[in-house]
Amino acid sequence: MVEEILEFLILGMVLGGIYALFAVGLTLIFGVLDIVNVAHGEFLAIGGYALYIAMVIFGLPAALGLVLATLAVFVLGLGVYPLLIAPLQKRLDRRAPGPLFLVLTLGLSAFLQNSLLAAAGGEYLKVPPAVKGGLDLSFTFVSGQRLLILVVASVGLAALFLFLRFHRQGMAIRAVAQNPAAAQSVGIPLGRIFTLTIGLACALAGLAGGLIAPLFSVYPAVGFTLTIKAFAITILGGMGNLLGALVASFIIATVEALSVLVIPSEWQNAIAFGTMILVLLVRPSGLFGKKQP
Amino acid sequence: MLAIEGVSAGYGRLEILHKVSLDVGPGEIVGIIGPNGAGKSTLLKTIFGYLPPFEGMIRFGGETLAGLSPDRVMRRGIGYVAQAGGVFAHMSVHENLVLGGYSLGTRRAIMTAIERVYALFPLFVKRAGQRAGSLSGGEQRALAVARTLIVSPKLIILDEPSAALAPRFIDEIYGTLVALNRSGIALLIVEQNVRRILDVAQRVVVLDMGRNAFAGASAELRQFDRIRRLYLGEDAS
Repeated sequence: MVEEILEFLILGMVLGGIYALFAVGLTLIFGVLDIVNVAHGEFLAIGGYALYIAMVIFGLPAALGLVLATLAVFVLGLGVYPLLIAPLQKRLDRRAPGPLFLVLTLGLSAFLQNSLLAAAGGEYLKVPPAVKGGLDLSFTFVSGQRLLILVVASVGLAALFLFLRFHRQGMAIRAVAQNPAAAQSVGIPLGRIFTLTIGLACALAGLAGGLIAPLFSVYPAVGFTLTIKAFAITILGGMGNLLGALVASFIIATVEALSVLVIPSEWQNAIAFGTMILVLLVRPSGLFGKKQP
Repeated sequence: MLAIEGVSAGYGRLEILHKVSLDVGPGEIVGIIGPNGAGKSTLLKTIFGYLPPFEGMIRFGGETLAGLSPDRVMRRGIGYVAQAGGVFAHMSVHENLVLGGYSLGTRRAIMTAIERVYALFPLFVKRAGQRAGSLSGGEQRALAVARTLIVSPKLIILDEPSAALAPRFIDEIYGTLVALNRSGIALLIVEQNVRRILDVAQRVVVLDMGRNAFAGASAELRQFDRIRRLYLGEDAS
Protein backbone atom coordinates (compact mmCIF):
# COMPACT_ATOMS: atom_id res chain seq x y z
CA MET A 1 0.00 0.00 0.00
CA VAL A 2 2.77 2.44 0.99
CA GLU A 3 4.56 1.66 -2.24
CA GLU A 4 1.38 2.27 -4.19
CA ILE A 5 0.87 5.62 -2.46
CA LEU A 6 4.48 6.60 -3.23
CA GLU A 7 4.02 5.58 -6.83
CA PHE A 8 0.93 7.74 -7.23
CA LEU A 9 2.58 10.60 -5.36
CA ILE A 10 5.37 10.64 -7.94
CA LEU A 11 2.75 10.58 -10.68
CA GLY A 12 1.04 13.49 -8.92
CA MET A 13 4.25 15.49 -8.89
CA VAL A 14 4.79 14.94 -12.62
CA LEU A 15 1.19 15.87 -13.38
CA GLY A 16 1.52 18.87 -11.03
CA GLY A 17 4.48 20.16 -13.02
CA ILE A 18 2.41 20.14 -16.21
CA TYR A 19 -0.60 21.71 -14.50
CA ALA A 20 1.64 24.39 -13.00
CA LEU A 21 3.28 25.33 -16.32
CA PHE A 22 -0.19 25.67 -17.76
CA ALA A 23 -2.12 27.25 -14.86
CA VAL A 24 0.58 29.74 -13.84
CA GLY A 25 0.50 31.18 -17.36
CA LEU A 26 -3.29 31.35 -17.35
CA THR A 27 -3.15 33.10 -13.98
CA LEU A 28 -0.48 35.52 -15.19
CA ILE A 29 -2.67 36.61 -18.11
CA PHE A 30 -5.63 37.03 -15.78
CA GLY A 31 -3.61 38.98 -13.21
CA VAL A 32 -2.16 41.40 -15.75
CA LEU A 33 -4.93 41.79 -18.35
CA ASP A 34 -8.01 40.74 -16.38
CA ILE A 35 -8.81 38.33 -19.19
CA VAL A 36 -9.52 34.60 -18.95
CA ASN A 37 -7.75 32.99 -21.88
CA VAL A 38 -10.04 30.12 -22.86
CA ALA A 39 -7.72 29.39 -25.80
CA HIS A 40 -4.79 28.51 -23.51
CA GLY A 41 -5.27 24.78 -24.15
CA GLU A 42 -4.92 25.28 -27.89
CA PHE A 43 -1.51 26.89 -27.39
CA LEU A 44 -0.55 23.73 -25.50
CA ALA A 45 -1.80 21.64 -28.43
CA ILE A 46 0.20 23.75 -30.88
CA GLY A 47 3.30 23.13 -28.75
CA GLY A 48 2.69 19.39 -29.21
CA TYR A 49 2.26 19.73 -32.96
CA ALA A 50 5.38 21.88 -33.20
CA LEU A 51 7.36 19.19 -31.38
CA TYR A 52 5.89 16.54 -33.70
CA ILE A 53 6.96 18.54 -36.77
CA ALA A 54 10.45 19.11 -35.35
CA MET A 55 11.09 15.54 -34.16
CA VAL A 56 9.08 13.27 -36.43
CA ILE A 57 9.01 15.19 -39.71
CA PHE A 58 12.38 16.96 -39.58
CA GLY A 59 14.11 14.40 -37.35
CA LEU A 60 15.57 17.02 -35.03
CA PRO A 61 16.82 16.02 -31.57
CA ALA A 62 14.25 16.21 -28.77
CA ALA A 63 15.92 19.03 -26.82
CA LEU A 64 16.09 21.26 -29.90
CA GLY A 65 12.51 20.28 -30.74
CA LEU A 66 11.31 21.36 -27.27
CA VAL A 67 13.10 24.69 -27.52
CA LEU A 68 11.70 25.31 -31.02
CA ALA A 69 8.17 24.33 -29.93
CA THR A 70 8.34 26.73 -26.97
CA LEU A 71 9.69 29.51 -29.17
CA ALA A 72 7.04 28.93 -31.85
CA VAL A 73 4.19 29.19 -29.35
CA PHE A 74 5.86 32.23 -27.75
CA VAL A 75 5.89 34.02 -31.10
CA LEU A 76 2.28 33.00 -31.77
CA GLY A 77 1.29 34.24 -28.30
CA LEU A 78 2.95 37.58 -28.98
CA GLY A 79 0.35 38.15 -31.69
CA VAL A 80 -2.69 37.72 -29.45
CA TYR A 81 -2.67 41.13 -27.81
CA PRO A 82 -1.91 43.39 -30.81
CA LEU A 83 -4.04 41.42 -33.29
CA LEU A 84 -7.09 40.52 -31.18
CA ILE A 85 -7.34 42.14 -27.77
CA ALA A 86 -6.05 45.65 -28.53
CA PRO A 87 -8.42 46.23 -31.48
CA LEU A 88 -11.40 45.13 -29.37
CA GLN A 89 -10.26 47.33 -26.47
CA LYS A 90 -9.96 50.24 -28.86
CA ARG A 91 -13.44 49.71 -30.23
CA LEU A 92 -14.90 49.45 -26.74
CA ASP A 93 -13.07 52.62 -25.68
CA ARG A 94 -14.30 53.23 -22.13
CA ARG A 95 -17.45 51.13 -22.31
CA ALA A 96 -17.54 48.14 -20.02
CA PRO A 97 -16.23 45.08 -21.86
CA GLY A 98 -18.67 42.74 -20.11
CA PRO A 99 -18.13 39.17 -21.24
CA LEU A 100 -16.78 40.16 -24.66
CA PHE A 101 -13.19 39.14 -23.99
CA LEU A 102 -14.36 35.74 -22.77
CA VAL A 103 -16.27 35.31 -26.01
CA LEU A 104 -13.20 36.49 -27.94
CA THR A 105 -10.84 33.90 -26.42
CA LEU A 106 -13.53 31.21 -26.66
CA GLY A 107 -13.80 32.08 -30.35
CA LEU A 108 -10.01 31.90 -30.68
CA SER A 109 -10.06 28.50 -28.97
CA ALA A 110 -12.66 27.10 -31.38
CA PHE A 111 -10.88 28.69 -34.35
CA LEU A 112 -7.49 27.20 -33.43
CA GLN A 113 -8.92 23.77 -32.60
CA ASN A 114 -10.77 23.58 -35.91
CA SER A 115 -7.75 24.89 -37.81
CA LEU A 116 -5.60 22.15 -36.26
CA LEU A 117 -8.26 19.60 -37.18
CA ALA A 118 -8.38 20.83 -40.77
CA ALA A 119 -4.61 21.09 -41.16
CA ALA A 120 -3.44 17.96 -39.33
CA GLY A 121 -6.51 15.74 -39.20
CA GLY A 122 -8.02 14.32 -36.07
CA GLU A 123 -5.76 11.31 -35.54
CA TYR A 124 -3.59 10.86 -32.48
CA LEU A 125 -0.01 11.56 -33.51
CA LYS A 126 2.69 9.65 -31.67
CA VAL A 127 5.82 11.45 -30.57
CA PRO A 128 8.82 9.45 -29.31
CA PRO A 129 9.92 10.21 -25.74
CA ALA A 130 12.72 12.74 -25.41
CA VAL A 131 14.68 10.51 -23.04
CA LYS A 132 14.81 6.75 -23.05
CA GLY A 133 15.10 4.52 -20.02
CA GLY A 134 14.17 5.72 -16.60
CA LEU A 135 14.71 5.39 -12.89
CA ASP A 136 14.18 2.09 -11.13
CA LEU A 137 13.05 2.75 -7.55
CA SER A 138 12.52 -0.96 -6.75
CA PHE A 139 8.84 -0.38 -5.89
CA THR A 140 8.15 1.49 -9.10
CA PHE A 141 9.72 2.54 -12.36
CA VAL A 142 9.71 6.25 -13.29
CA SER A 143 10.13 6.75 -17.03
CA GLY A 144 12.76 9.15 -18.29
CA GLN A 145 10.08 11.31 -19.91
CA ARG A 146 8.36 11.79 -16.54
CA LEU A 147 11.62 12.75 -14.87
CA LEU A 148 12.26 15.17 -17.72
CA ILE A 149 8.83 16.74 -17.17
CA LEU A 150 9.61 17.25 -13.47
CA VAL A 151 13.01 18.81 -14.13
CA VAL A 152 12.03 20.99 -17.11
CA ALA A 153 8.80 22.20 -15.48
CA SER A 154 10.69 23.14 -12.31
CA VAL A 155 13.37 24.98 -14.27
CA GLY A 156 10.78 26.73 -16.46
CA LEU A 157 8.72 27.87 -13.50
CA ALA A 158 11.77 28.96 -11.50
CA ALA A 159 12.94 30.96 -14.52
CA LEU A 160 9.55 32.67 -14.78
CA PHE A 161 9.47 33.59 -11.09
CA LEU A 162 13.05 34.90 -11.18
CA PHE A 163 12.26 36.89 -14.32
CA LEU A 164 9.20 38.48 -12.67
CA ARG A 165 11.15 39.19 -9.49
CA PHE A 166 14.37 40.67 -10.83
CA HIS A 167 14.25 41.48 -14.54
CA ARG A 168 13.30 44.99 -15.58
CA GLN A 169 10.50 43.76 -17.87
CA GLY A 170 9.36 41.19 -15.29
CA MET A 171 9.07 43.92 -12.68
CA ALA A 172 7.15 45.98 -15.21
CA ILE A 173 4.71 43.07 -15.64
CA ARG A 174 4.12 43.00 -11.88
CA ALA A 175 3.78 46.79 -11.82
CA VAL A 176 1.10 46.72 -14.52
CA ALA A 177 -0.77 43.96 -12.67
CA GLN A 178 -0.79 46.02 -9.48
CA ASN A 179 -1.40 49.52 -10.77
CA PRO A 180 -1.63 50.16 -14.51
CA ALA A 181 -2.00 53.94 -14.15
CA ALA A 182 1.09 54.23 -11.94
CA ALA A 183 2.97 51.89 -14.30
CA GLN A 184 2.27 54.24 -17.20
CA SER A 185 3.41 57.20 -15.11
CA VAL A 186 6.89 55.68 -14.77
CA GLY A 187 7.09 55.17 -18.52
CA ILE A 188 5.93 51.56 -18.89
CA PRO A 189 4.05 51.10 -22.20
CA LEU A 190 1.00 48.99 -21.35
CA GLY A 191 0.60 47.51 -24.82
CA ARG A 192 4.12 46.11 -24.90
CA ILE A 193 3.75 44.57 -21.43
CA PHE A 194 0.38 42.99 -22.35
CA THR A 195 1.96 41.54 -25.50
CA LEU A 196 4.94 40.14 -23.59
CA THR A 197 2.75 38.70 -20.81
CA ILE A 198 0.58 36.67 -23.19
CA GLY A 199 3.68 35.61 -25.12
CA LEU A 200 5.36 34.27 -21.98
CA ALA A 201 2.23 32.54 -20.73
CA CYS A 202 1.72 30.89 -24.12
CA ALA A 203 5.38 29.83 -24.22
CA LEU A 204 4.87 27.97 -20.92
CA ALA A 205 1.77 26.28 -22.36
CA GLY A 206 3.72 25.37 -25.49
CA LEU A 207 6.50 23.88 -23.37
CA ALA A 208 3.92 21.87 -21.42
CA GLY A 209 2.44 20.68 -24.73
CA GLY A 210 5.85 19.49 -25.91
CA LEU A 211 6.56 17.74 -22.63
CA ILE A 212 3.31 15.75 -22.52
CA ALA A 213 3.25 14.93 -26.24
CA PRO A 214 5.07 11.57 -25.82
CA LEU A 215 2.72 10.59 -22.96
CA PHE A 216 -0.68 11.58 -24.35
CA SER A 217 -0.06 11.82 -28.14
CA VAL A 218 -0.96 14.97 -30.05
CA TYR A 219 -4.49 15.80 -31.24
CA PRO A 220 -6.44 19.05 -31.68
CA ALA A 221 -8.40 18.89 -28.41
CA VAL A 222 -5.50 17.67 -26.23
CA GLY A 223 -5.46 20.91 -24.22
CA PHE A 224 -9.16 21.39 -23.68
CA THR A 225 -9.67 19.30 -20.52
CA LEU A 226 -6.54 20.88 -19.13
CA THR A 227 -8.02 24.35 -19.68
CA ILE A 228 -11.08 23.46 -17.61
CA LYS A 229 -8.87 21.86 -14.97
CA ALA A 230 -6.67 24.96 -14.93
CA PHE A 231 -9.76 27.06 -14.18
CA ALA A 232 -10.27 24.92 -11.08
CA ILE A 233 -6.60 25.39 -10.13
CA THR A 234 -6.75 29.14 -10.74
CA ILE A 235 -9.84 29.48 -8.57
CA LEU A 236 -8.41 27.27 -5.83
CA GLY A 237 -5.17 29.28 -5.81
CA GLY A 238 -6.93 32.64 -5.86
CA MET A 239 -7.57 34.42 -9.17
CA GLY A 240 -4.44 36.23 -10.29
CA ASN A 241 -2.26 34.74 -7.54
CA LEU A 242 0.76 33.08 -9.20
CA LEU A 243 2.14 31.35 -6.13
CA GLY A 244 -1.39 30.20 -5.31
CA ALA A 245 -1.72 28.70 -8.79
CA LEU A 246 1.62 26.92 -8.37
CA VAL A 247 0.66 25.35 -5.04
CA ALA A 248 -2.89 24.56 -6.20
CA SER A 249 -1.50 22.78 -9.29
CA PHE A 250 0.36 20.30 -7.12
CA ILE A 251 -2.56 19.91 -4.69
CA ILE A 252 -5.03 19.11 -7.48
CA ALA A 253 -2.59 16.82 -9.31
CA THR A 254 -1.67 14.90 -6.15
CA VAL A 255 -5.27 14.53 -5.03
CA GLU A 256 -6.19 13.43 -8.53
CA ALA A 257 -3.40 10.84 -8.66
CA LEU A 258 -4.06 9.49 -5.17
CA SER A 259 -7.83 9.39 -5.66
CA VAL A 260 -7.29 6.53 -8.13
CA LEU A 261 -6.60 4.37 -5.09
CA VAL A 262 -10.05 4.96 -3.62
CA ILE A 263 -12.26 6.32 -6.38
CA PRO A 264 -12.94 4.64 -9.73
CA SER A 265 -10.89 6.53 -12.34
CA GLU A 266 -13.94 7.35 -14.46
CA TRP A 267 -15.17 9.53 -11.57
CA GLN A 268 -11.93 11.50 -11.29
CA ASN A 269 -12.84 14.51 -13.42
CA ALA A 270 -16.34 14.75 -11.99
CA ILE A 271 -14.88 14.88 -8.51
CA ALA A 272 -12.20 17.43 -9.48
CA PHE A 273 -14.81 19.80 -10.92
CA GLY A 274 -17.22 19.13 -8.07
CA THR A 275 -14.45 20.25 -5.73
CA MET A 276 -13.97 23.39 -7.82
CA ILE A 277 -17.67 24.27 -7.55
CA LEU A 278 -17.54 23.61 -3.83
CA VAL A 279 -14.51 25.89 -3.39
CA LEU A 280 -16.29 28.61 -5.39
CA LEU A 281 -19.33 28.39 -3.13
CA VAL A 282 -17.46 28.18 0.16
CA ARG A 283 -14.43 30.34 -0.51
CA PRO A 284 -14.73 32.27 -3.81
CA SER A 285 -11.38 34.02 -3.28
CA GLY A 286 -9.61 30.64 -3.27
CA LEU A 287 -7.32 29.14 -0.66
CA PHE A 288 -4.78 31.95 -0.80
CA GLY A 289 -6.95 34.91 -1.76
CA LYS A 290 -6.37 37.30 -4.61
CA LYS A 291 -2.88 38.69 -4.46
CA GLN A 292 -1.22 40.53 -7.28
CA PRO A 293 1.68 38.72 -8.96
CA MET B 1 7.38 75.55 -20.94
CA LEU B 2 3.96 73.89 -20.58
CA ALA B 3 1.28 75.64 -22.61
CA ILE B 4 -2.37 74.62 -22.71
CA GLU B 5 -4.78 76.42 -24.95
CA GLY B 6 -8.50 75.92 -25.43
CA VAL B 7 -8.49 72.34 -24.15
CA SER B 8 -11.81 70.51 -23.86
CA ALA B 9 -11.82 67.00 -22.43
CA GLY B 10 -13.82 64.53 -20.39
CA TYR B 11 -14.88 60.93 -20.04
CA GLY B 12 -16.47 59.16 -22.99
CA ARG B 13 -18.78 61.74 -24.51
CA LEU B 14 -19.18 63.69 -21.29
CA GLU B 15 -17.31 66.96 -21.61
CA ILE B 16 -15.95 68.17 -18.29
CA LEU B 17 -13.37 70.75 -19.35
CA HIS B 18 -14.48 73.51 -21.69
CA LYS B 19 -11.71 75.37 -23.52
CA VAL B 20 -9.34 75.63 -20.58
CA SER B 21 -6.04 77.47 -20.96
CA LEU B 22 -3.03 77.78 -18.68
CA ASP B 23 0.74 77.80 -18.82
CA VAL B 24 3.66 76.98 -16.58
CA GLY B 25 7.05 78.65 -17.03
CA PRO B 26 10.42 77.03 -16.24
CA GLY B 27 11.02 76.79 -12.49
CA GLU B 28 7.56 78.11 -11.64
CA ILE B 29 4.99 76.82 -9.15
CA VAL B 30 1.46 77.12 -10.51
CA GLY B 31 -1.58 76.13 -8.47
CA ILE B 32 -4.97 75.00 -9.75
CA ILE B 33 -7.85 75.54 -7.36
CA GLY B 34 -11.61 75.38 -7.64
CA PRO B 35 -14.62 73.70 -6.10
CA ASN B 36 -15.21 69.96 -6.21
CA GLY B 37 -16.15 68.80 -9.68
CA ALA B 38 -14.55 71.83 -11.34
CA GLY B 39 -12.43 69.53 -13.51
CA LYS B 40 -9.07 70.01 -11.79
CA SER B 41 -8.06 66.34 -11.75
CA THR B 42 -9.51 65.89 -15.25
CA LEU B 43 -7.21 68.65 -16.46
CA LEU B 44 -4.12 66.96 -14.98
CA LYS B 45 -5.14 63.60 -16.44
CA THR B 46 -5.60 65.22 -19.84
CA ILE B 47 -2.17 66.91 -19.71
CA PHE B 48 -0.49 63.63 -18.74
CA GLY B 49 -2.27 61.61 -21.43
CA TYR B 50 -4.63 59.48 -19.33
CA LEU B 51 -7.47 61.20 -21.17
CA PRO B 52 -7.32 62.35 -24.79
CA PRO B 53 -8.36 65.99 -25.29
CA PHE B 54 -11.44 66.54 -27.50
CA GLU B 55 -9.90 69.75 -28.80
CA GLY B 56 -7.22 72.28 -28.01
CA MET B 57 -3.46 72.37 -27.80
CA ILE B 58 -1.10 70.97 -25.17
CA ARG B 59 2.56 71.73 -25.73
CA PHE B 60 5.60 71.07 -23.59
CA GLY B 61 8.96 72.60 -24.51
CA GLY B 62 7.57 73.41 -27.95
CA GLU B 63 6.43 69.84 -28.69
CA THR B 64 2.80 68.79 -28.75
CA LEU B 65 1.63 66.32 -26.09
CA ALA B 66 -2.00 65.92 -27.12
CA GLY B 67 -2.67 62.33 -28.19
CA LEU B 68 0.43 60.85 -26.51
CA SER B 69 0.00 58.05 -23.97
CA PRO B 70 1.18 58.72 -20.37
CA ASP B 71 4.36 56.64 -20.79
CA ARG B 72 5.35 58.89 -23.72
CA VAL B 73 4.41 62.13 -21.94
CA MET B 74 6.56 60.97 -19.03
CA ARG B 75 9.54 60.51 -21.34
CA ARG B 76 9.29 64.18 -22.40
CA GLY B 77 10.29 65.17 -18.85
CA ILE B 78 7.03 65.36 -16.90
CA GLY B 79 6.42 63.55 -13.61
CA TYR B 80 2.95 62.73 -12.30
CA VAL B 81 1.93 62.18 -8.68
CA ALA B 82 -1.60 60.83 -8.29
CA GLN B 83 -3.89 61.88 -5.50
CA ALA B 84 -3.82 58.50 -3.76
CA GLY B 85 -2.68 54.98 -4.49
CA GLY B 86 0.12 56.07 -6.77
CA VAL B 87 2.69 53.59 -5.44
CA PHE B 88 3.06 49.88 -6.22
CA ALA B 89 1.64 48.76 -2.90
CA HIS B 90 2.75 45.11 -3.07
CA MET B 91 6.33 46.00 -3.92
CA SER B 92 9.15 47.23 -1.70
CA VAL B 93 10.16 50.88 -1.48
CA HIS B 94 13.33 50.02 -3.39
CA GLU B 95 11.43 48.22 -6.16
CA ASN B 96 9.18 51.27 -6.51
CA LEU B 97 12.25 53.43 -7.05
CA VAL B 98 13.77 50.93 -9.49
CA LEU B 99 10.55 51.07 -11.51
CA GLY B 100 10.77 54.86 -11.41
CA GLY B 101 13.88 54.41 -13.54
CA TYR B 102 12.21 52.05 -16.03
CA SER B 103 12.71 54.51 -18.89
CA LEU B 104 16.44 54.93 -18.15
CA GLY B 105 17.20 51.51 -19.58
CA THR B 106 20.51 50.44 -18.09
CA ARG B 107 20.80 49.06 -14.58
CA ARG B 108 23.79 51.30 -13.83
CA ALA B 109 21.89 54.48 -14.80
CA ILE B 110 18.96 53.41 -12.60
CA MET B 111 21.19 52.65 -9.60
CA THR B 112 23.07 55.97 -9.88
CA ALA B 113 19.76 57.84 -10.01
CA ILE B 114 18.40 55.89 -7.02
CA GLU B 115 21.47 56.77 -4.92
CA ARG B 116 20.81 60.43 -5.69
CA VAL B 117 17.16 60.11 -4.61
CA TYR B 118 18.07 58.18 -1.44
CA ALA B 119 20.31 61.13 -0.53
CA LEU B 120 17.31 63.45 -0.86
CA PHE B 121 15.00 61.10 1.09
CA PRO B 122 17.15 59.41 3.76
CA LEU B 123 13.97 57.99 5.32
CA PHE B 124 13.67 55.55 2.45
CA VAL B 125 17.17 54.14 2.93
CA LYS B 126 16.03 52.49 6.16
CA ARG B 127 12.70 51.52 4.62
CA ALA B 128 14.13 50.20 1.34
CA GLY B 129 12.92 46.65 1.92
CA GLN B 130 9.53 47.60 3.37
CA ARG B 131 6.37 47.00 1.36
CA ALA B 132 5.22 50.35 -0.05
CA GLY B 133 1.60 49.62 0.90
CA SER B 134 2.58 49.47 4.58
CA LEU B 135 3.96 53.04 4.60
CA SER B 136 1.82 55.84 6.04
CA GLY B 137 -0.22 57.99 3.65
CA GLY B 138 2.30 60.81 3.85
CA GLU B 139 5.24 58.48 3.26
CA GLN B 140 3.49 56.91 0.27
CA ARG B 141 3.03 60.32 -1.28
CA ALA B 142 6.65 61.20 -0.59
CA LEU B 143 7.64 57.90 -2.25
CA ALA B 144 5.53 58.77 -5.29
CA VAL B 145 7.31 62.14 -5.49
CA ALA B 146 10.72 60.49 -4.97
CA ARG B 147 9.93 58.00 -7.73
CA THR B 148 9.33 60.78 -10.27
CA LEU B 149 12.74 62.27 -9.42
CA ILE B 150 14.66 59.20 -10.60
CA VAL B 151 14.45 60.47 -14.18
CA SER B 152 15.07 64.17 -13.32
CA PRO B 153 11.84 65.67 -14.68
CA LYS B 154 11.56 69.33 -15.66
CA LEU B 155 7.97 69.55 -14.44
CA ILE B 156 6.04 67.56 -11.85
CA ILE B 157 2.25 67.49 -11.87
CA LEU B 158 0.67 66.77 -8.49
CA ASP B 159 -2.97 65.99 -7.76
CA GLU B 160 -3.80 67.25 -4.26
CA PRO B 161 -0.57 66.44 -2.45
CA SER B 162 -2.12 67.41 0.91
CA ALA B 163 -5.29 65.29 0.57
CA ALA B 164 -6.10 63.15 3.62
CA LEU B 165 -2.83 64.04 5.37
CA ALA B 166 -2.36 65.31 8.92
CA PRO B 167 -1.04 68.93 9.11
CA ARG B 168 2.44 67.76 10.12
CA PHE B 169 2.70 65.62 6.98
CA ILE B 170 1.32 68.43 4.82
CA ASP B 171 4.16 70.62 6.11
CA GLU B 172 6.65 67.89 5.27
CA ILE B 173 5.42 67.25 1.75
CA TYR B 174 5.24 70.97 0.96
CA GLY B 175 8.71 71.45 2.45
CA THR B 176 9.93 68.80 0.01
CA LEU B 177 8.10 70.38 -2.92
CA VAL B 178 9.48 73.84 -2.25
CA ALA B 179 13.00 72.41 -1.99
CA LEU B 180 12.55 70.62 -5.30
CA ASN B 181 11.31 73.81 -6.88
CA ARG B 182 14.41 75.65 -5.63
CA SER B 183 16.50 73.05 -7.45
CA GLY B 184 14.80 74.17 -10.67
CA ILE B 185 11.85 71.80 -11.11
CA ALA B 186 8.59 73.45 -12.13
CA LEU B 187 5.44 72.30 -10.31
CA LEU B 188 1.80 72.26 -11.35
CA ILE B 189 -0.30 71.50 -8.29
CA VAL B 190 -4.02 70.87 -7.94
CA GLU B 191 -4.95 71.70 -4.37
CA GLN B 192 -8.05 71.96 -2.19
CA ASN B 193 -5.99 73.52 0.57
CA VAL B 194 -6.12 77.04 -0.87
CA ARG B 195 -4.15 78.80 1.84
CA ARG B 196 -1.32 76.32 1.43
CA ILE B 197 -1.10 76.70 -2.33
CA LEU B 198 -1.32 80.50 -2.19
CA ASP B 199 1.70 80.42 0.14
CA VAL B 200 3.93 78.55 -2.29
CA ALA B 201 2.61 79.20 -5.81
CA GLN B 202 3.66 82.25 -7.79
CA ARG B 203 0.50 82.01 -9.86
CA VAL B 204 -2.86 80.28 -9.53
CA VAL B 205 -5.58 79.28 -11.93
CA VAL B 206 -9.15 78.97 -10.68
CA LEU B 207 -11.38 76.48 -12.46
CA ASP B 208 -15.13 76.54 -12.04
CA MET B 209 -17.56 74.22 -13.84
CA GLY B 210 -14.76 73.19 -16.18
CA ARG B 211 -13.92 76.73 -17.28
CA ASN B 212 -11.18 79.24 -16.49
CA ALA B 213 -12.62 81.49 -13.80
CA PHE B 214 -9.47 83.36 -12.84
CA ALA B 215 -5.77 83.30 -13.59
CA GLY B 216 -3.18 85.52 -12.01
CA ALA B 217 -0.59 86.01 -9.31
CA SER B 218 -1.31 84.46 -5.92
CA ALA B 219 -1.06 87.87 -4.26
CA GLU B 220 -3.62 89.22 -6.72
CA LEU B 221 -6.03 86.40 -5.97
CA ARG B 222 -5.99 87.16 -2.27
CA GLN B 223 -7.48 90.56 -3.09
CA PHE B 224 -10.58 89.11 -4.70
CA ASP B 225 -13.43 89.25 -2.23
CA ARG B 226 -15.43 86.48 -3.84
CA ILE B 227 -12.49 84.10 -3.93
CA ARG B 228 -11.69 84.86 -0.31
CA ARG B 229 -15.24 84.14 0.71
CA LEU B 230 -15.51 81.00 -1.37
CA TYR B 231 -12.17 79.38 -0.74
CA LEU B 232 -10.60 80.97 2.27
CA GLY B 233 -13.77 81.10 4.37
CA GLU B 234 -13.12 84.73 5.22
CA ASP B 235 -15.77 87.36 5.62
CA ALA B 236 -14.95 89.92 2.96
CA SER B 237 -17.02 92.73 4.37
